[in-house]
Amino acid sequence: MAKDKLDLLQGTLDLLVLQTLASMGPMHGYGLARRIEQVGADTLMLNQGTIYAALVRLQQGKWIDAEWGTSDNNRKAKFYRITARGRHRLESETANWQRMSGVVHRILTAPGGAGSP
Amino acid sequence: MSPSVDRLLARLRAVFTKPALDADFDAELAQHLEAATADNIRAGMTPEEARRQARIALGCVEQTRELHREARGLPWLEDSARDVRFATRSLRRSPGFSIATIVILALGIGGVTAMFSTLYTVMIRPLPYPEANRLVLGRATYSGDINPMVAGPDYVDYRDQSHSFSALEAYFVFPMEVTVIADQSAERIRSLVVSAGLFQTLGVNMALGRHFTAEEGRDNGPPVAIVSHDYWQKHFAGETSVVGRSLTIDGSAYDIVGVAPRDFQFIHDVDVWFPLRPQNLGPRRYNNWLILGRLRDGVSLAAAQSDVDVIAAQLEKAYPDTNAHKTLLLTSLLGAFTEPYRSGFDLLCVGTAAILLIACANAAGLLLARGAARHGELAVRAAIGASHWRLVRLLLTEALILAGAGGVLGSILAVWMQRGLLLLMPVEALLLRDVGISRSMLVAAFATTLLTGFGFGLLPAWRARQVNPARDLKSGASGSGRHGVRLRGGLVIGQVAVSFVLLVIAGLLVRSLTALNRVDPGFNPRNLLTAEVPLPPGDYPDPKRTVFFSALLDGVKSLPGVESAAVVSQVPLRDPYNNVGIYAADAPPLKPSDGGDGYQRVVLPGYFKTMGIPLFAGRDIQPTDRADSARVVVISRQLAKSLFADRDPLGQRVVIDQASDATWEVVGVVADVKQSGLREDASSRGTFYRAHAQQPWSSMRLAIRTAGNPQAIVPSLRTLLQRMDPRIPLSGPRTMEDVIANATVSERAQALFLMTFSLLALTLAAAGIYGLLAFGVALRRYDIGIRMALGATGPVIARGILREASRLALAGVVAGGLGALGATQLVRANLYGVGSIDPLTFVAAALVLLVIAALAAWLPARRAAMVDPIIALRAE
Repeated sequence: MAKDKLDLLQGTLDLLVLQTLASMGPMHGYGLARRIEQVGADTLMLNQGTIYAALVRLQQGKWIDAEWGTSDNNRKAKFYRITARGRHRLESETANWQRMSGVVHRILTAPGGAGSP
Repeated sequence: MSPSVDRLLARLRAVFTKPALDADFDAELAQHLEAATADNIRAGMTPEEARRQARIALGCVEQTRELHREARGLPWLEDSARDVRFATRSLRRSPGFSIATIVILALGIGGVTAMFSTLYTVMIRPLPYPEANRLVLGRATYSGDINPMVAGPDYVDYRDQSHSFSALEAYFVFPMEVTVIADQSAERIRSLVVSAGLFQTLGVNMALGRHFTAEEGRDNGPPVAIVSHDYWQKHFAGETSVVGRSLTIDGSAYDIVGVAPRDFQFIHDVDVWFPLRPQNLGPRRYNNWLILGRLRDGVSLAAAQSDVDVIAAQLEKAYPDTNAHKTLLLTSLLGAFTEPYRSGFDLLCVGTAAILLIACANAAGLLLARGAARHGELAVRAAIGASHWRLVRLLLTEALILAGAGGVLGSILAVWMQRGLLLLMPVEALLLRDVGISRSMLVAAFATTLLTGFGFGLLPAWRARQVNPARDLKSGASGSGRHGVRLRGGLVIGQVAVSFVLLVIAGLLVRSLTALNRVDPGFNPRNLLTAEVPLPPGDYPDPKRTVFFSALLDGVKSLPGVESAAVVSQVPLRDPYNNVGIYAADAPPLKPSDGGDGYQRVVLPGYFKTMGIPLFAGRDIQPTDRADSARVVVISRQLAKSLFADRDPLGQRVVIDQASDATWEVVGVVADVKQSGLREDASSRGTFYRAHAQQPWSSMRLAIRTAGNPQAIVPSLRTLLQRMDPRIPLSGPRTMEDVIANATVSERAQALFLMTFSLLALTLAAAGIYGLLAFGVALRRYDIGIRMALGATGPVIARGILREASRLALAGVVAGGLGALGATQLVRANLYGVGSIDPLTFVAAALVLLVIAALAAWLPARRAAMVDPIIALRAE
């Protein structure tokens, strides 16, 4: 894999999973992984296996729930769905994330900062 | 529920549904790989390449599973479970080590558990009265010494003038026996006079009926009584109609107004309570009462004490004759009750703590030895990736498992140990509510177990951090064994030191007990039966009493097996009561309160001869000392000395408090007798004897010298008494040897405890020495082999081992000796006839330990001496 791909920040995978489920509806693990990879395109380095740890965490906190169902190609698969609690968390975390990234951006682009030319 | 709680619960659930969850996840993974492979094939890969790429994208399958499990469950819990399983397996592989350690720990834990739960039950747990922490006991002190009895009028002044108490009650200092006559048979029961409000102040609810009323506490109030639950059950078969019925006590009728609740006993074990009336209080000179108060809300003990001190100072000013230097000491009720046991319990605490310490040191030694032997194994574990922390955890788990097993076994032992403890240390019934397996005991056992597990496991576990696979795998087991041996040596020295301290204390107690047993009580206790014969005072007016007792004496003397007999008011060592002021008539004390007390005894003729008390001068009490003849008194030598110094006491006159006649003539001097206890010394003023005819008391004791076993004559004695008057019971027949044995019961208990403790400690210390030396010999077989190959003989090698043992023992004895100098102070007050730093005891204890060490070293030494250099060198 390319060296310049980003490692996921700690905790952001949960947020990505919630967002994906919120926008795309119920999905199975592989579908989620593919979707996040596609959106992240070439910049995000995702180890697909880690998504399952995130799914367990989210399930335990009742932010999502899971159910065995049938996939597009008529195979049994476990489908994950975002819960009301999950949507709530997604909202607040998204807001947090945006505030945080805004702050980080401002600091990094402030005159004399490491990010300024 | 909050998400974090949900997560925790889900994780916990996951621990227990692991197989199902694993299967579920495997299915999910399989589906994932299948879908990915299908996508890859669609993208144009060969099926093989497609599968490979699917796996790569997922990451390692095993790792994914592991990640999943970690997120899902409680990894540390599952790891611990694994540790426990592993440690159990490893312990089961060395049963000898495990059993030895568990037994050693069980002894320590059991002892401490029994000890502390008893301590809690007896000393700390609140008394079974509502707001018992506000109850205080009031005892009189003279110049700071606890008397403890208070004069009746003083009590009334304290009660009426103090502001600190919601109630202040009084009760008689000891129970009085009374005769109850029912159905033509007489029974002696114990009674106690208490102020009318005592039950209410304690907060005791009656099982039946009511408390005494204030009216019943007035002079000439209605004659009433409260009976005990036991008495009610026994004599009224638990009938509720008992309240209002009448009981004939000492010839008078009393109405029963209440039944005390089951198991209620306050201070004394009695069957009937009477209300105190002002007419019973007695003069200010006589101290017969104890005071119980309930502190008013918000009043501290100290505040109450200063309140009472002010009153005491006023009383001292108002009544200098009787109240000089006298005050009232307030103590919390529980504190006062537990005072007598404090020193005994201190000793027990030290003993059990010492045993636990030794047990821990011993177990730690065993664990260290095992650790050294397992060094190779641990090194391998470290080499294949176990972190140091993981090894520490594993060893600590082993230690905790051993401690746990020891704790379970110890808790079982503790139940018996506590029984033994209470057997040997008679504690008042009031303090002993529901002993046995109790919550306090289980808490104590659990805490001790945990403490012990960490206590002996930490050291060996910590050493596991030093495992260095590169070095240790190369050098084999012996590489870092050296340091372990030195550490274990330290532990063994510690054990010897603690054993030495226990041994010295035990030795001192035994010496003290021996000295007590050798004390001459002043009379001959062999084949002497004592019993009480109480006459119903109403039926036997004064002159008839002497007639009755004289006839009884004649009857007893004619019984087969009786050599001689006597009648006395109180038997030495058995009934230590009744000290009365006595002073020389020509030298009255400046103040009556300066007059010293003597033990007052009333006898019928023949008492001194029967008891074997030598007569030094003059004559003893004779049949000619009649009610109408001159008042005479026989005094003991000590009293003669204290009253008349160098003057000849014969013919002198004395004044006796509470006696109706002005002066009494001293007609004889007899030897001193220990009245109150074997420890009674020269500071006791002595005894004076009066003739029964001149002081005709109704309740007297028999002292009968028999040819054979004194108990054998009890039946014929009962028959005799029955024939003379069926209403008179024979109360508490007991041999004097039994009484004397009973006088040293707590001393014997303490000595026995300490002996047991030190025996246990010695055994453990010996096992420690043996283990260390045997281990050392096994470790150094090679060195020994070389030395022998170079010409050292077996005995030389053996001597070396013995030298090592004595070095350890000596170091332990020196350390223990220093400890003992301090620790023996604990028992100083209990000792009799021996100092707390008794050279003989110290030297003997040291010798015992050296011999034990030599014995423990004998086997390893022999083994070392028999090392065959050829075999030893080849084996390496």
